[in-house]
Amino acid sequence: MRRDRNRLGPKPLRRALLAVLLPVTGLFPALAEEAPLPSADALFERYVEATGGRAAYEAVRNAVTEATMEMPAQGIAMKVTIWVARPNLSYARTESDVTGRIEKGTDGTVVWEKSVMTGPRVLEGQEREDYLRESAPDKFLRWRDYYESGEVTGVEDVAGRPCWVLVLTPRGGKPQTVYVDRESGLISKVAMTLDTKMGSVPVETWLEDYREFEGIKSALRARTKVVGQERVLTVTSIRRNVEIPPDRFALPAEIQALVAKRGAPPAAPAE
Amino acid sequence: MGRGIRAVVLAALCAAVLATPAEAGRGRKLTAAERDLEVESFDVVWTTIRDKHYDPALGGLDWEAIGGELRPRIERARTRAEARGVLRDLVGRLRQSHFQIIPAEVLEDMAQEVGEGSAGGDAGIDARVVGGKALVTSVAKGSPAERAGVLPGWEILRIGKFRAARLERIALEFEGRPHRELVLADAVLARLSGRIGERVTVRFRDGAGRPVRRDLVLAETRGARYRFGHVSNLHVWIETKRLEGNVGYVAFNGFLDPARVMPAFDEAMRSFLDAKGIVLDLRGNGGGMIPMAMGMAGWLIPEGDRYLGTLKLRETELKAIVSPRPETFAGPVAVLVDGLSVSCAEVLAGGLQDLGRARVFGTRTAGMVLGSSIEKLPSGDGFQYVFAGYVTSGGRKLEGAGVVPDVVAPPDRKALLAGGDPALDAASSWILRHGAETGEKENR
Repeated sequence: MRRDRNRLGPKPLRRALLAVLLPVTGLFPALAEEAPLPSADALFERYVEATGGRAAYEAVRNAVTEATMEMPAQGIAMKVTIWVARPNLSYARTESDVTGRIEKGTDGTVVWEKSVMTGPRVLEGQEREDYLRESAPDKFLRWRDYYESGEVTGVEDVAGRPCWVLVLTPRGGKPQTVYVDRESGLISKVAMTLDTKMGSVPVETWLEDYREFEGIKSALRARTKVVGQERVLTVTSIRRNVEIPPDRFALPAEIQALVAKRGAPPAAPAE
Repeated sequence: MGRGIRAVVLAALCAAVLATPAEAGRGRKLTAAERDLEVESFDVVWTTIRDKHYDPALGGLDWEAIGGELRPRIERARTRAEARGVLRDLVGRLRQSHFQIIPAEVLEDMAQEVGEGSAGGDAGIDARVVGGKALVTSVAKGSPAERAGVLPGWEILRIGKFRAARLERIALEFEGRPHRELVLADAVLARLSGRIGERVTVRFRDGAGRPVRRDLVLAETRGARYRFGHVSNLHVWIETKRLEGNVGYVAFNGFLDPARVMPAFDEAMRSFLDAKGIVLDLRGNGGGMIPMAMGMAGWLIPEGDRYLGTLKLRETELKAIVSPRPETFAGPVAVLVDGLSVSCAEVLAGGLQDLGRARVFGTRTAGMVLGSSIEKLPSGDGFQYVFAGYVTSGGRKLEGAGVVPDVVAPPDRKALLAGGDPALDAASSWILRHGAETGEKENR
């Protein structure tokens, strides 16, 4: 079977990237068992088209996603709000009575985390790169900027449905596996290992119940299995091109103090 | 005090305490549908341990055989009490802390609105058993005990029908085991808590050696109410103050309610940056969430590559990293512990001790340090199970061993009656001595 990992088109249309929290949908029509494996570019291109098209993506300057995060077995629920804006800004806030507030974000250069429990922290190394990649608002259109390669390796079932297995190798990080529903083209599952300062954390996420939010389809629900516990993220709204306060992506004072203490910030990510 | 938190965080030994009168209907016969739920719960418990315990070999247990032995028993269970007995037998085979079956009635009882007649009542007495004698070690401000004139150092002779003399038998039974102090203290403290408005008669020996009787009407336990998943109305408090000699002092009863406890802790640490030393009083601390211990350590450790210990999970290992705050405290730190310092309290005390960042005072901790989760079973009972082992940064396993203090300083009746506190006094003296020595060196 053909494994076309190098067939890259120059068109930005072909440059799409997937996400864990905000996946979009729509790939090929059903392919026959014996059909050759598609290229990663081809998968992403169809993916973008089926979920709203390149024009819809390119029209997005920013987005605000609201969701609930539940740990059903433990009876814990959290409110999650994520702001993203071009070119590479993001800020996520998780709040609950159980855990207090947890914030994470980037101004495009410094990646940081501030939890009422653990305090402020500047992320570095692979942990920083992973966050920049996973939170990049334009990643669907520029996947090659974040991954060295993408290879479709075969077909596997996820929840009883055949899926293309797409192995993406990030720049400097561990490979992650994306399962794309062969019939619907939707991303059904993402499996990756995140390198954090605490250690390597295997994460599996199942993406379910795709809905259209302001012209782009996203999974309404993401079920994540991490260190043996299940978390369910349910999106309640996605608003695009809204007014976002100019300081939304500014570094909190404690992070600024940590950055100042460490000296110059790390280099900006590759454009 | 803090018993409610320990009851949640802890293991099978607390099951007896949890099996309060709230575990109603224990003698009622199960219907066929209820028995099915108990069997289903058994399967969930058995499977969860098989699949999620950090040690796939389960310490060498033949888990299949144990399941085969116990499942027929739960299929034959006639009452919920019998069914729970089988489940407790199953989780007890691991012989580890942080395994327990929490009756649904207890969870429901704790979830009731707090008020007259509800759970969450307390006399306001903290007590420890020293040399076979139950001593009042502190009395909460504004509590029924304080209003009744109870003082630290008084000896508890009898609570209702429970004679403190029985503690000797319990002490013998748990001789040599690290959680002996906890079992003994809980035998007393459990009887000083109950329903709000409940009257408890306590007989003491006062400071002059005279027998005195006090009728205490239990009031709501100290602290703010906090819900942790399936467990409601835990009471969490934090106390911060500056001791004589410019020594900062922080005490809290659990690593819970971070939205309230952490800002108070952070504010205290900021204000103590100029102090001669800091005392973290973790005596009686029932544990909770490890990230809070990590965040607290961030005020005390300036290096960015330190960690308190390692959680060992089946799939991976995670370090309890310390993220230094923009400003950190550089002076001496004393941590106070005792046999009722449990879980996260042991993580913080043992971690700081291994890193050479704190001197530990008091008595040996409970030795109950494992990562756990509390979930609901199909029957409605709560199920606490272990998914992570834990070792300190120095490679010490604290489960079953505890943190051994650098300076042993148990409570003492004479000192308590004189208004003293042996562990705190030793810690304060060490800090002030340390400060004086540092000052002398700087002057030289």
